[in-house]
Amino acid sequence: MSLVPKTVRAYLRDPTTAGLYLAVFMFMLVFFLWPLLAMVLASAEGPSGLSFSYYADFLARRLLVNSFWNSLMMAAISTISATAVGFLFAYAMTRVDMPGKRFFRGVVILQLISLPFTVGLSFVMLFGRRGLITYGLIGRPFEIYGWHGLWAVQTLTFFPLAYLVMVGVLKSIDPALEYAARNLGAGSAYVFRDVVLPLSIPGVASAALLVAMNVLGDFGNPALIAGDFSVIATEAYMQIVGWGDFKMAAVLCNILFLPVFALFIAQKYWVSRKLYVTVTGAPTQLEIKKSGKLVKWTLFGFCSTISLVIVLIYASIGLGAFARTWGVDYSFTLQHLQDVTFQGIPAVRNALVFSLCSGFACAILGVLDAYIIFRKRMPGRQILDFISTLPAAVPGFLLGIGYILSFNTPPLVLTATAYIIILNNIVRDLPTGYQAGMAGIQQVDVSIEEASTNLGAGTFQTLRNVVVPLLKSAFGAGFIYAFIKCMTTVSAVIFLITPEWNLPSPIILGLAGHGYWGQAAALSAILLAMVVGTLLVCRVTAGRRIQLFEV
Amino acid sequence: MDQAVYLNEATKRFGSVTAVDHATFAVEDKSFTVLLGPSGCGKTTLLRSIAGFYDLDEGRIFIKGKDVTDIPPHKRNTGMVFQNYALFPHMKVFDNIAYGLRFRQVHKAEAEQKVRKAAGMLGIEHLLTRFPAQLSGGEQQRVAVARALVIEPEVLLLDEPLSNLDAKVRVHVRVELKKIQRQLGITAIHVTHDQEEALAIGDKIVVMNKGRVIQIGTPTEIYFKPKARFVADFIGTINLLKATVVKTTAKEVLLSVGPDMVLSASASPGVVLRDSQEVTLSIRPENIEIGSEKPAGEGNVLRGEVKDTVFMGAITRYFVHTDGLEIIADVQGSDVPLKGSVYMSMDGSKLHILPEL
Repeated sequence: MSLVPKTVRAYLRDPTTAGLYLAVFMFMLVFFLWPLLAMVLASAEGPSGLSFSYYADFLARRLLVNSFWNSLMMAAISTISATAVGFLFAYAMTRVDMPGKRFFRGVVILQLISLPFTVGLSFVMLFGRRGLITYGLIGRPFEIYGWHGLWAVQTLTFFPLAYLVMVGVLKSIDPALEYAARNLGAGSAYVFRDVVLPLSIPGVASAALLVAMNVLGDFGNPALIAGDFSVIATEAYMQIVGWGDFKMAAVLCNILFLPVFALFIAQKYWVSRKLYVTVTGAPTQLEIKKSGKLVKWTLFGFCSTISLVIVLIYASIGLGAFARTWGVDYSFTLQHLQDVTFQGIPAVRNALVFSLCSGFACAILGVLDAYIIFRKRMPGRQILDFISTLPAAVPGFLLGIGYILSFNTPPLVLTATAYIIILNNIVRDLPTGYQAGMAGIQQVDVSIEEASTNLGAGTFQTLRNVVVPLLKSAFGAGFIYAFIKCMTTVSAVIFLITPEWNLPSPIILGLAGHGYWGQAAALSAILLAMVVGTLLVCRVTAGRRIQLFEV
Repeated sequence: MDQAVYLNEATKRFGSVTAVDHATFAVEDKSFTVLLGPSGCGKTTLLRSIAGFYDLDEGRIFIKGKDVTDIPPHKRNTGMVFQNYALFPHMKVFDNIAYGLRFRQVHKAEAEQKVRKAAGMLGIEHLLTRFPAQLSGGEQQRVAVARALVIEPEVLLLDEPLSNLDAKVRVHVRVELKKIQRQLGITAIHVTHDQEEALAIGDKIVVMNKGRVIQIGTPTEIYFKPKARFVADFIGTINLLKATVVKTTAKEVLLSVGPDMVLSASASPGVVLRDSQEVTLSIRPENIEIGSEKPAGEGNVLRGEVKDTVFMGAITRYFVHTDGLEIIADVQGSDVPLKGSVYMSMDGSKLHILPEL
């Protein structure tokens, strides 16, 4: 009938969707794929064309090669420990009737929304050379700097991430299955071994891969606590800030990108397919059977210990903000708060404006993106889905360096502007908005949109009249998540900030790096208060309409 | 005969699965046509293709003589009632019904009048200010029908709209649906897997299996004169007997169903049979008379043993064995069940020959 290929016809029949496809794709091409590509080009571009001399140089420098192995090693051990803690936590919260669940949940949420290097910062303050516990209370010198310190910090930092994934999986395992196993004669240990554990293994694997990606890409904690234990993230930073060697930084980024990308592919296309039950399963009617006393109180003790350490972490930040000289004089002072206002207030204002812009853009883009990918089953949606989820896996510092390499020179010069920071935030948090949009769309039956189409509404009219009103809460959730992430982000923006466009989290890292614990703690406390405040305001005003951190 | 919808070799594939396989048939104007078949037979795919939610891989679709194959769904003017009703949860009933009129340049006052008229027809005027979540399943269903009717569609598409209602309401609503369809003189295409519903509601039934249209006919044709074993088997309970043609005359066909068991069936026009051809003979259980005495008259009587009896309320069902065959016969009422040896007599005009095994 028609000479035009089917693919093209699909686009022509729905120009609204085709336009949106193109817009999202172009945006991600320029602000995500191009910086990644620029890094590959930069690393392989010698004085006379194609050259791998930088890679040869990398292999010749023992320190750099070691930092790569260190990164992998740290990712491996932290993933095991964080996933284990996360699993025990998730199991206890979903399957055991222990007291204090609200408190534990609060602790986990606090960890999820706070600055990514809070644990590192407070560990130095608690267990460092002048640490409150090691120096002040015990009075013995203790070396927190190094791989063991970093391991503890990464475990505490990333177990909530593993927890979040596994709670979803454990919640979706129908308790009826456990009843069935008991009915057939299995005791509780067997029920766990034969039913709960096998069903949650894909969830555990998914969580582990997510943690591994995050540990590999983390910059703040290693910068604070790794000491002589160098990892790729800190080495790449040193290459740029210390020696201005962008080429070597690009090489390091590219080398790190390989394992990260492999983990991402494994998580997205392998493990997630193996999930037995969808996370959006219908809530079950059955009560969870009461667990044995021994199991119950062991898990309660475990969760309490972890939670108390985290409480201690935040207490030390709060204390640090008001203690005159950390490690020496713990008398009350407001000096630090006053000191950070000069630099801090404009930075906090910037962070607010940037986060509002990025959060808003992420939410709109994310919901639209999810809509066109999941509802308009047009050719090319897999590509769009891929580039909309990949930014979550790409380490922040990697994308930050990519931005400097791409937007320093024409055709698009953005360095030292506010736009580069906002755009970077949008790209990095698009997966967050996309996920919120996806969750929202899954709750709206397709037939509702089809009904609108059937009654005569085109794509645009259906979007305006039906989709947008029904996805308001998904939009709200996407906005809040992205906003919070932007407020606390550090690793990508650390390469993009200027004295004019500064942000609080890199400032805190800088202050801590120079030993200004009081000021670092004070600014952290301010930032944390703002983030927690945002979440509380949202809880109070939107109530159950916007579901956040359903953990 | 006017055609409201005409499908020409309509084919839709999903990957390697052919959901609709070269379907060709016409839906008469102002008729109530039912697409019937087991789940996965392609009936819903076909309906959704008519609505425009799927693009055909091959073939054309015509609505009121116009080729709509390449017309997007929102320009087709078909009114669809979805299985789960798909009411807009954020709009009141009134706005739900009025929604389609927004895109049809209907004046506001006129729109309101139309909405009220449609609501009146379905007896839901008192629900206009409520939200869908505040309605019962049956009420939601009425809103969905009103919403589809108010746009005065070329064809009303019903995607198993009764399947979410409980049994009693379902029977009541299907009578009502048909009444409204007649009243408005509108063409309706109704998808169901419920054969009883199809027989009760349809002017025409299109039986589908594995993506293919197997038979099109009136309910009585489909029920008593199935053209294929699948149709006979799918609809109701039926006896299917392996038979060999002994002799054919202009009026009747003599068939052997076993040693010394010869039945005579009325010849079906257009079906050519040769001698000693193997065929399948079908007869509905209610068309078999059963008694303990050998009936007077000749032919079409089989003797057998009652093996089992099932009391089913209005009827009693007998499972009778006769020389290796099991035959099911239904008898109305019957307080005292028959036992032991019985005689079954069959009306030759009710014996139907399927020219396949």
